[in-house]
Amino acid sequence: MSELSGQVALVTGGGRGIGRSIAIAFARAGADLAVCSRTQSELDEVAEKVQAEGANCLTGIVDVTDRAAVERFRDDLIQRYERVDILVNNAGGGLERGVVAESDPDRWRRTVEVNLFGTYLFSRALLEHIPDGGKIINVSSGMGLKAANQSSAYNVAKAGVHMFTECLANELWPRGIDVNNLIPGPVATSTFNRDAPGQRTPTEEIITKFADEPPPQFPKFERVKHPDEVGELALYMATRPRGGPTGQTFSLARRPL
Amino acid sequence: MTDQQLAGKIAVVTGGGRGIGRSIALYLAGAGADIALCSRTSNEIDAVAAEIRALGRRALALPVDVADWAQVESFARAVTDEFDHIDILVNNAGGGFEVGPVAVSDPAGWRKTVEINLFGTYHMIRAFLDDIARGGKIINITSGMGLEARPGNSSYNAAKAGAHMLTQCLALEIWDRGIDVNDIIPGLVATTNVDWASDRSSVESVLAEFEGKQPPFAPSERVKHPDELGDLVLWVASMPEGGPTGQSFSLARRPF
Amino acid sequence: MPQRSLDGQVVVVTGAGRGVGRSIARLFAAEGADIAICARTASQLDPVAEELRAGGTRVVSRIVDITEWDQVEAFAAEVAAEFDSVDILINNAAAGADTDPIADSDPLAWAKTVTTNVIGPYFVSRAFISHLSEGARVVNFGSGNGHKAVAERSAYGVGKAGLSMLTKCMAIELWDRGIEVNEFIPGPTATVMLPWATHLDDEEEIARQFGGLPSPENPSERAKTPAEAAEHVLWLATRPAGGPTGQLYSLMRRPV
Repeated sequence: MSELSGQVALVTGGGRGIGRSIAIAFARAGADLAVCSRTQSELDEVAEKVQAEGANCLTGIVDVTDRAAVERFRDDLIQRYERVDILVNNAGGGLERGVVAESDPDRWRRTVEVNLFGTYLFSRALLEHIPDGGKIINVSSGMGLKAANQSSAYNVAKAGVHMFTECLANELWPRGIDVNNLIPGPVATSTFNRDAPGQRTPTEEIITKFADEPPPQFPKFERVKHPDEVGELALYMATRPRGGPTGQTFSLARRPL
Repeated sequence: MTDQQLAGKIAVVTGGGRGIGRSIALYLAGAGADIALCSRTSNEIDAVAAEIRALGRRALALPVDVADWAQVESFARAVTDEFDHIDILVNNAGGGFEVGPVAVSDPAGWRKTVEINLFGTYHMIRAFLDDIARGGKIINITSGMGLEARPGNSSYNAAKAGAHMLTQCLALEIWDRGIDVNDIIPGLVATTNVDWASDRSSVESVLAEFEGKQPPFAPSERVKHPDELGDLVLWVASMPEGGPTGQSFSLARRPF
Repeated sequence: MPQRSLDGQVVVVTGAGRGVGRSIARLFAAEGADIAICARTASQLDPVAEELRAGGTRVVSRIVDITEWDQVEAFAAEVAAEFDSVDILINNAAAGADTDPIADSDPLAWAKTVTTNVIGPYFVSRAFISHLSEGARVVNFGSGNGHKAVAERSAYGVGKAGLSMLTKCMAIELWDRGIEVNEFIPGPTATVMLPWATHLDDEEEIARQFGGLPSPENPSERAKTPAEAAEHVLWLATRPAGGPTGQLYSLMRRPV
């Protein structure tokens, strides 16, 4: 498979879970990678996997809410690769759970910052280096389309990301850069499993745990999937021709949104 | 319904110094409510407070940066010290600070727009929630921009989409406390904040500019006086307990 | 409290033999309007017509199946012969919610429900469109089911989703005649349309048993009286010129 041969892709939050699967799928398709996250050991492991596919891998520790750190990583990337063809804004997650009435304002704010500002800052920093025909893929969520109970920070953050994608699509189509949302639906990751910091429940264990039924906030017909399935969808989106879909949403969810 | 249907009620209006916020504060006061209002500076809210007192109602006006949690918390304590509890919270403080495409946007300005429009609304809700009486109302002034993307104003679009979502999430969480949460979509309003008028020195100058002229966004749209928002918010604030919650009330004139 | 706010206006209400349609006809007549009503069942519609006439209202009343174009056209012709123009059109008549999954559905019944709920309002709108006055108001009755999928209610949802889109299309086509078209969602109402009261057919009994009580489907919802819904329709139908168009007004108590 060499559909991405000669291309450079950046995946934020690429150290584990969905981001990791996307990075490896892109490497398998021939792309060189830049991957950032907050944990060196995870980045090292992903780099190994990417290099095992014969691809280059630049890694960096980046707090996606820190503009200076984002710009430093951008500089490293451009120095190494000169451009980026595909930007995957995947870094995110729900830090603040529970009802608004008892929420911690700092954690509520931080949830929005990581998901929304992170996506914005990376887009802003990389935009001038994305050529005609490039792709931006923002990992959105069904939670960004429909309100739920006890997860307002995440709902709100993803609603913002989802809207941002559409705005950016409206702005970049004259440059031939297509911008779309990817909705994974429930995925067997540490984040989804609400692992404690430092804990990393293996993917297969999470899949087995939810094999009969998804967690209660989802209807019974939802399925907790392997993150590699999301990697496949991201690859599909990354390999659309110039002038393909833009401002659209591609979803693996199994419930109307 | 009498014309003093809010007698005995306490309403908080953020961004209450001018434009939509001022109109809302005056309409609620005109219906009998006492008002606590805030904005970033004092001059304008002091003048509105004087107008409220001239209607025979109590008014408390304090400067607050809604993006600053500590300031919002202090404001909430000052309001509840003065009034004991509140009945109506109108999150109106907002506006666009970073206009233009993402590609050349100023990250600080982009962030600030989200902070004021989204975090400001969240902070006020969080700070006042324990002190809102049963039957109370939370009314968030959002925007059609929160429902429909356009080029050239992504921070405002994203912030208002977030505020719209927050309205619905909160409605799902507190309906059983008898507190209803809705948002208002103003459509085009003549204020001194708008970025689509050349002369925005006053409400009147914006109205005059578009008198008989094609409005922005859609030919069916109409540039309206902020008092129409005062009227709509009064209507929503006067609904009985068990009225609509998680809904949007809109004066827009284009489908979303 | 009647204030004669509709003096001299002509109002058309479909499905006026019972439920919210009947409540609207009564309320609007009390406000001074001339009324044109239709329904499928004479034993329901005739008493309503008599009641309004006894109150001094001018009434056109006709038995109409809104899925039959000829009947709709004849109704519009009768209204045009009696009244110069129509100022308010309320598309209320609808088929009730289905209860079968698609796999078990009766195809003809499914199609009939969809036809009644979207083609019916289209036929009525089409027949009356040239009789609508400048500045007329159209209110189309939607449902949360038209915005969010509910299992075993597909015919109802599909019809109401179609009606929601029809509303928006009408809004963007008619705005320059000053005609405003909005969707109205009453939420659960204690009438024979109440989804969890389909085993009863007496409206007074339904109101007695379920009025004001929460919904077994959605705990935040409560069944309101048809009179309460009619008050909101009056408000929506009497917005000043340049008011909302292409918008949704909902009394639901959960996000649409």
